Amino acid sequence: MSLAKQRSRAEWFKHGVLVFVLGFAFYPLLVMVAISFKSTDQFNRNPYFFDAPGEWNVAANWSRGWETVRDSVANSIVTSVGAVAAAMVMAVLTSYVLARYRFPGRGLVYYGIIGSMFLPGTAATLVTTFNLIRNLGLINNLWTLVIFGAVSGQVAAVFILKQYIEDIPRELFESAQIDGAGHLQQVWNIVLPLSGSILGTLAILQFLGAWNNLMLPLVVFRDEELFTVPLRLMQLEGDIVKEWGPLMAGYAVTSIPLVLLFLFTMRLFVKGIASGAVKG
Amino acid sequence: MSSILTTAPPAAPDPGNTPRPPATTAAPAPSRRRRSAVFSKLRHWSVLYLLMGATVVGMVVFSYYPKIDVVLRSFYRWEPQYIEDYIGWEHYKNIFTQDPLFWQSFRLVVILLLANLVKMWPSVFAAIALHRLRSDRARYVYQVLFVVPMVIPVMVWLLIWKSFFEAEGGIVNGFLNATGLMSLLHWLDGSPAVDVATGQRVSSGGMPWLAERVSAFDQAVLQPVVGGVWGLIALGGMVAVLSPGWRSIGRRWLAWVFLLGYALWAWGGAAPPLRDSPGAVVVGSLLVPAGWLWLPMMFAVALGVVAWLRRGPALVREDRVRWVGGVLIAAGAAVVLLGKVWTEPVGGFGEGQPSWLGNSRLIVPTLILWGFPWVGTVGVLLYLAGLQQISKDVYEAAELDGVGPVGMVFRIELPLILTMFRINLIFMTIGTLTGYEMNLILFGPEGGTNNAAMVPGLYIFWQSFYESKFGYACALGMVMFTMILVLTIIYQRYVRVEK
Repeated sequence: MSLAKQRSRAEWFKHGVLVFVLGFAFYPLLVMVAISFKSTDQFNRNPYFFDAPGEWNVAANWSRGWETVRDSVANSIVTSVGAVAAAMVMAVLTSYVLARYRFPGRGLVYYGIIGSMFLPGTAATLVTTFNLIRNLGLINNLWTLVIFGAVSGQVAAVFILKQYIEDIPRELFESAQIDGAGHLQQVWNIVLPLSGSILGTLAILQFLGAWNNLMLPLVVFRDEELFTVPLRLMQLEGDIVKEWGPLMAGYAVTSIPLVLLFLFTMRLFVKGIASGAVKG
Repeated sequence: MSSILTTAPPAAPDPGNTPRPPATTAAPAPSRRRRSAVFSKLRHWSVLYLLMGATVVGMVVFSYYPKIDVVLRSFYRWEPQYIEDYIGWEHYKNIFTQDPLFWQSFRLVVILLLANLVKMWPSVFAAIALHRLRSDRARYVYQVLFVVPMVIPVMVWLLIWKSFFEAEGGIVNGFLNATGLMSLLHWLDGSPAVDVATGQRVSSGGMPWLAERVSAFDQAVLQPVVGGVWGLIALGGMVAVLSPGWRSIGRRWLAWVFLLGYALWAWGGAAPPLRDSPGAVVVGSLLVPAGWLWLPMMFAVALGVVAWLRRGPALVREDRVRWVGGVLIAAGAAVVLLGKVWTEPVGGFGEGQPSWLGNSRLIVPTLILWGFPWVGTVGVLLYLAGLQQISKDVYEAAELDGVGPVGMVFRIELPLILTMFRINLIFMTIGTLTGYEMNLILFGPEGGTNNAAMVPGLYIFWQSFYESKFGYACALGMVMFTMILVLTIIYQRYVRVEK
């Protein structure tokens, strides 16, 4: 009896800890939505909690918020999707080769990719990177983000995918080879179906990284119409007079693509991370 | 490119699988056959290289080239579009002799690093709580809930938190005022007063009052005995290194010699570390006035004798040695925290609107408090993945052995996620040392009031894109990179996974 009681008390304690932690994680989200419904008057009166539902200013705030960030959301979607797609194609092919074949230079390639994880780029790398971009004539060009997003995604993706592909039984590949399948067919028919969940998880993580990238766009873009979400938000933040309602609505709009992404992939993502395949 | 790949002949079979021709027919042209085998191998390899081509070229051009370029450019006076001269080691000389702000920024980053070492733990405990839930269903719900906050772009998250810390109408000040904690802070802060007799500012009450007493103790007792509080910490470290936790004698001596050097500097210069540049540190430790030396040397010799004796039969109980060392370090840390941090009234608490992001003395506490309760949602899920490899039997066996719920944290759960923890530790360290985006967004390129939020990364960014000193920024980057490399190597050696 007392043991059961102790157990249930321990259960409540754990729930308490988790709810406390999640409360702090969710509070900014709630504040953002609450303020995005407020006029300036309402904000001054009651900044951090919801008003009565009848007094919400959804349409006015959100349409203005949408207008301020619309272009940047479009830019971010294009560059992030491009970067992730390119990163995944490159990483799958490279890890397939590294996992399946021995050839001269294999170690060099593998450790060359993995080693850059421990050669962190400092702020000084941004200088030389900027110089490189300028010499290539890629300043003010959305392609820059796609290229750098794809390359910077290689390290973690190859590290994880290579291990994953090594675990696929050799016989599968060998029998496909006997049937005359080329490299691309083997990747398409064996690697992709078997590593779907880990690929999806990696893609989502990389998408988040690309979506949140600030420094590169900050030094590369000059024209406002090329600004991505973080840049545009930073620019809005710099305004002296802030109308918090539309501003927060704008913030919320920039989260919508990620909401949609997670809505469809949540199950896969939780499973992918829980499988312990993503380490480091 | 893909058309090349698809028209390329299907994979040449593995070298091992190459069908060997029957010996009888092989006689006429062995060399030609060998050449065709070599040729097919080459063709096989070139297809492989082609498949990896995009990654390899991309990494070389966009990842390695800029990093190597940093090394080369650090020897140039490079102010874009006008000047590009080779100047040798001049930048490095300037960094070590006339750039106090860079070294000041390292002081902040060391504080942040220490804070982050503490801030890593809540994620671990949250993951353990999540792992120990009895209901699988509830756990899944929590897992999903932990993912949801990731939908907010990092920038939005930062800006919302920034609005929480605003002086007027910010939620932090609102909370402090509503709960009465603000008046507690005001009381702790004391208020500046002027001594009528001497005309000097004296503090009246609270933490500054305590700080005066503590630093009086520091000067009266610690300075003459061990050369100040940093000497006390060094002494504690030297004692602690003698304890049995350090298994190999060689490693122990290495750490000990390192600490001795540090102690000599602390005792000799009696200057807090990181206030002056490392160059000055090295020189200073060589030029210590001889009068200072006798006491630390006595300690060093005594401790050395103890360490040497410990190879034979133990004279001192080893765990007691460790305790003494720990107590000395803790006492030193307490003196630093109480005597050297909150030394003057900050002000602003009395009006109920301290400016957390504007007041240069509140910026560091704000950075430390930032993100309370410091649970990274992805981190929790990754730790959970590690924890779920523990089988139920282990828990039952531990329970039979009488291990309580707290004991299990240290006996079962922490050892199992140690690998992951170590990886996180390395990346957290690299991230803290190189990171500057948050400081840039919150405080601007010059690091806020009095450059209080200036971290090395931000300083480099400022030197390059605001002062146009590209070459100098590269040299600064090299100094920072070297430090990171050293730290990573130390981690690799000392933060071992012990199974």
